[in-house]
Amino acid sequence: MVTIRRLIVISALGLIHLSSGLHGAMNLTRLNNEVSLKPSYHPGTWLQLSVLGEGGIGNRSYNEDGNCVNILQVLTPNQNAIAMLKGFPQCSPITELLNRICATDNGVRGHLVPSAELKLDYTLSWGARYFFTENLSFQVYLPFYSIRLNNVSWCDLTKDITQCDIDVKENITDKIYEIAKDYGCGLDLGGWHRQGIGDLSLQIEWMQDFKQEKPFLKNICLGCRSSLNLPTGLKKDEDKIAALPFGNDGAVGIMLGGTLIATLGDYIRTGFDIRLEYIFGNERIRRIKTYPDQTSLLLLQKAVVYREWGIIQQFNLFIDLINFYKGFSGKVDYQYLKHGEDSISIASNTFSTTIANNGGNLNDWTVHSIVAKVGYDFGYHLNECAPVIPQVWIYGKTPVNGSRSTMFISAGAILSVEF
Amino acid sequence: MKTALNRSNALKLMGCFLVFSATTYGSILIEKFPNSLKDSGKTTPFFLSSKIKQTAEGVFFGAHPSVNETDLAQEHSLSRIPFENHCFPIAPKTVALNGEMDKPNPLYDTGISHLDLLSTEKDSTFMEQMQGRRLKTSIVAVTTKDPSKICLLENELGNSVRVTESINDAHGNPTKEIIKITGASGDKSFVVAAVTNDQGEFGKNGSGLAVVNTFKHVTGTGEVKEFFFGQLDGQFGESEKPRSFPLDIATSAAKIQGDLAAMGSVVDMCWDPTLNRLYVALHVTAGAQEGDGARALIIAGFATLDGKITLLPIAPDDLFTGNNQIVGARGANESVSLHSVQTMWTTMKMPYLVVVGGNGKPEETKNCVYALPLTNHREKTGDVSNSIIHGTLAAKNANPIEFYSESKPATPSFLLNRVIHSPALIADDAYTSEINQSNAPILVGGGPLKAGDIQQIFIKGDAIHALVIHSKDTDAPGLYHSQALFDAQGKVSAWTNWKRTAHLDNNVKAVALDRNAESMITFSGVDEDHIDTIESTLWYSGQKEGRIAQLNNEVQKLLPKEVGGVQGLFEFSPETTPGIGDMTILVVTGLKTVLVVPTDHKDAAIARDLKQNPLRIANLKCDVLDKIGAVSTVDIVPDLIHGTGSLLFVGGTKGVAVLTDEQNKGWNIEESLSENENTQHMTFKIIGNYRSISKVIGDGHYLYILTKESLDRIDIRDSSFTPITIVRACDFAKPSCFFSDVLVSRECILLATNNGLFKKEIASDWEQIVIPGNTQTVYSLSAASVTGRAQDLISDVGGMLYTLSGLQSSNRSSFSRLAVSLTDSGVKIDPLPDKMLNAIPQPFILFDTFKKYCVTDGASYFHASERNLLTHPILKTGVARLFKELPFDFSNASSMTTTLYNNSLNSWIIAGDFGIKGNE
Repeated sequence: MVTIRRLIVISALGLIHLSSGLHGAMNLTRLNNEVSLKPSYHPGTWLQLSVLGEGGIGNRSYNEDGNCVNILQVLTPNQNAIAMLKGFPQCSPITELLNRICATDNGVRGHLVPSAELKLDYTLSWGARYFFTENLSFQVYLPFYSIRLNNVSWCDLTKDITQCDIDVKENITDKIYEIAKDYGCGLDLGGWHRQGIGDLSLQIEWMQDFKQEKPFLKNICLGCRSSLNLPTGLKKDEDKIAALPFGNDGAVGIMLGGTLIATLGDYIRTGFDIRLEYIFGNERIRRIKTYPDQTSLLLLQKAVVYREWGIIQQFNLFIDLINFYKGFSGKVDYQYLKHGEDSISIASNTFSTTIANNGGNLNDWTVHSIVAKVGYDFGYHLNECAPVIPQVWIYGKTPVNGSRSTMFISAGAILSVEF
Repeated sequence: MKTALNRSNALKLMGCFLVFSATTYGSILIEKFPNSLKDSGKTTPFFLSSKIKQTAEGVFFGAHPSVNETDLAQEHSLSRIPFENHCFPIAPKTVALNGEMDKPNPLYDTGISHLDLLSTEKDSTFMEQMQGRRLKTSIVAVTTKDPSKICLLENELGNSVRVTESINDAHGNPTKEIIKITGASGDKSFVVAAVTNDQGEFGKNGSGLAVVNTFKHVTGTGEVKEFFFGQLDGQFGESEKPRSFPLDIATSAAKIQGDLAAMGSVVDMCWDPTLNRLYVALHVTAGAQEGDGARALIIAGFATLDGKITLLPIAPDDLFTGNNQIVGARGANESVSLHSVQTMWTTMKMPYLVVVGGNGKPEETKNCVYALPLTNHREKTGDVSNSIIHGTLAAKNANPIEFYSESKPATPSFLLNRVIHSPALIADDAYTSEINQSNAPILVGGGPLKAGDIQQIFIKGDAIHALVIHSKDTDAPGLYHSQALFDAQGKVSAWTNWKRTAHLDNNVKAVALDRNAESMITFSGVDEDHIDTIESTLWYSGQKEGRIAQLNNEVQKLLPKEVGGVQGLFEFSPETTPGIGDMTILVVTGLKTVLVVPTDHKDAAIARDLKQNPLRIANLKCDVLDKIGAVSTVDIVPDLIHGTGSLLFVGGTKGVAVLTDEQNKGWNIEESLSENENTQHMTFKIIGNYRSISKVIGDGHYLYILTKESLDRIDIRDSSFTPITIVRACDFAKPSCFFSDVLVSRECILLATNNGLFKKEIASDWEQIVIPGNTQTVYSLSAASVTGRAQDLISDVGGMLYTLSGLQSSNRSSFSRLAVSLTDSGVKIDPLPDKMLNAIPQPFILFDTFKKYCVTDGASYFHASERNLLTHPILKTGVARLFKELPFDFSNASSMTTTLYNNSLNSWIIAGDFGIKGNE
């Protein structure tokens, strides 16, 4: 039996913080799955080092109704190129262009359907955990991502019937790339490739076992944790569409979490985990709406904006099969994550904060996902006094539902060594 | 390029008439009276009086005087239609009578001789009418059963009634008959009744005006008595035996020099709550002596609140020197006959007295309508500074003074009204009935209404509608319209010529206009004494069968929503289109399509034939139109080269074309649209190398072609139709300038641009026209001219220009009015003094949404917003902040092309990608 080997499943801010903070205007989901992917450790370990490698298999995006859509159609099915020109000062070139076309929005005129492929090239994440005592540890995590947006296309829905249609086509939609670049402070409507580190996470965690002398319930493990997320990650690129931040978009975050795990018999363990994260508001130049009908990808105006972030809530339910065959273990985890509604304040009176807040990219978003993993603990064959105990895990994860969010379908491996 | 109209593709003009079964009746029967009658097509089993009254709350009417205790009318002897399709009785069998419960109702099952309304608040202004503001209204009536008593219904339900004792004449004897009543609502509310003497004579000794109190009575000691509804003493105010104020041939306000020879028993009265003046219109004949004269209009004022009347002359004796001064005359036995009187407050906030009648015998004057300016000496406090001349005829050359509310710190002052203080004192101060330029400001319709005698007039906004039921021409009964045109001071400078806005069935004897829903309620019967059918027009929304529905059905087949629907809708009539002949046509355009619908003809027989026979539509679709793309603009100009026929020009997204035959001869529309004429030889020919045409408009010898980038002109006397560029957008100072609309009148060009409005006369440079408060793009221009033709905007008597400006980026629009006049130094265009706050000129209407268009006939204002993402198109009416949305379902529509009034279809019709909708 592996009674001593408490395969503690830790709920702290993610070891595999690979996707932490992949949220932003396009609501890409956080992919960190701490409870599922964080390696267990053995009693007596004073240091654990981990590395994760992951590759993207696909991508799944959900709109407001929970339907699967293209990554660029998460917030609206199409983008409004007429509304894009509204809300600017009367004598500005943008308004002059708008007045020239004098076209009203009939639902298709000036509407463009964008589509693209979002691809996760790879994720690397490093983690280190130092144990002060058997129950108290300090952890550091740093991820690195490589993501690209390919095959971007903009399909013009404008008909070719009325003078308004022709005006809109000739003046706007036929040259949407040029207009976005010229009038939109360099907004690039094409694809991109971005890579860089994510936010650095510093975490302290306490976990304690409470043995149970009952026929079936053998152990209760309680844990709590807190972390500080530092804004080292790549920020959202405001000049590219759906160019997500690799962290909290330059904001500092703090997290509190708690876990309860029950060990049932010799092989089964189940429990839940709760995580709440508060991100401190931050100010930076962002794209804003200048007119209520504007759509999220065609925002021409940039302004210094203070963003108040919504609370992040994450709930996990999981079941483990521990050491079911000579050191092999398995796990299935259901995760629900919700990011509350954000709000912004414009640091000037030139544009309306009310209108700027009327944006779908500020609404709350959710993700439901499933993670499954299997792993092998070399400690099963090693002496308890072995100086190094390695573990290796492979996993796969997939979203099953959500709203206003995008998430990768991916697979990866985790290697950890304990000292 | 020339392409023959192709027969096989239904391109022939004549051969492709699309024929429908014509149903010319689009109105619906008012229900509620016994439903069993509905199948008979009648509303009531008894006859109704033609004396109807309407407010913003609805239409009130009574049973005919002959319907007395016949057990037919019962509680319907007095009824109300609240501008819905139902009629509500308001004369229940038992009521609270003079404060006592469950008493027999004197109005139950009786004929109604006279009826009027009494607003316990001040009468609604035009703004309030347009807002549909509900007023608290009481009804006053005189029954056939008791013709000397006045009944008051204290509320719309009619369950509380008060009735007077018999009204006394000027001698204190009970009158034999009340011949007219009117509600006078002002600081206090009265009912004024014109009464005969005890012998039943009016105009003779003893007849007069009685005043009936309708408020809590306060005695001289300050004691407040219970509600008192009874006659006051019109002569001294307080008397034990109340009397009427004498009104007869010896009344000094009516006679000039000697007593009148006669005063007819036809009286009309009108109370103006703002001026606090009662106007009494009479039929009078001057005495037989030289120098004798007569005034057919007198003013009654209430000197105190106790009912004491003061009668004042409408103008002094010295003003009347001849027999053409409308409200009076001097000369032995001269007659003056006024049949109707109403006051009109224009949107420029000036009062006018609108009278039907004039100098002459009653039968000679029933088709004349005049609008006479009035003085106003009412102070801000409500006091009248000079009661002798307050409300009298104003001097014709006097200019108005703007009158503002008190300005307080942090409170802006509001424009209350424009007043003229100078009365007309001598003949030179007064207008006459002579039809000439100097009298244009008072000649409603430009002169007498030739169609026939006027039965009713309706004042709405700046327009007057006249109802003709007995036409001299058998086909001319209908509703006629004339609109006031203003000068830069806000005075009326002229009236548009009479234009028929509704053809009415010969059986229609009375009409009410729904001021909120722009609908019409008609009262029909075999004659005025046998009215038994009430019908209401409806805004057509696709379910009813009528001429508009038929037109819409075909238009939707040829121009479905998928191809943009109707992209242009134009009416060309003989009055507005030189060279068109005698036929009126409606032109509907869209993608590669031009449809021509003959709707009316000057010849009554042909017109009748057009209306009674199936609606015919000529489809001009052809190969050349395929190249023109979406046709959005059309104009018809006379063929000046050959002297006959017309040239029909069309402009679209990809060019301009003209319809001619192989010899470049114009189209004889009238002949072509007759059933047996073959016009296959007509072809469209492309002109120049154009695209994105905003407008084509003809004026004089030229056709003007407007695109966003340039304004070109074609000399239509030259068959080569070679365009010459007049101005390019890039010639204007601002590089991003573009053109949006153009109007041309007498070769004066008015050009709407994103930099404002510009004017160019012959041999002069472009000059910018100031539009109040506008720094926005001017998107469209429209005009009101005497003839009704936009190209006649510049005329000797003036015209009005409308501009619609907007700012899409902030979703706003504004509608402004400008006065156009022709002076010795050229064309002068000045904004009308539409002011509200602090004397700052501003647009007439400010919209909080971007409007595609705004059109008006002076009475109605239609403005439309197109689809804006999730907001479907909306068509509204009104000028104030609370606009009224018309009951159309535009949820599947995207664009609104235009709204125009088509008099042959009797309707405002609305076009867009949904097809055509209207009110019929």
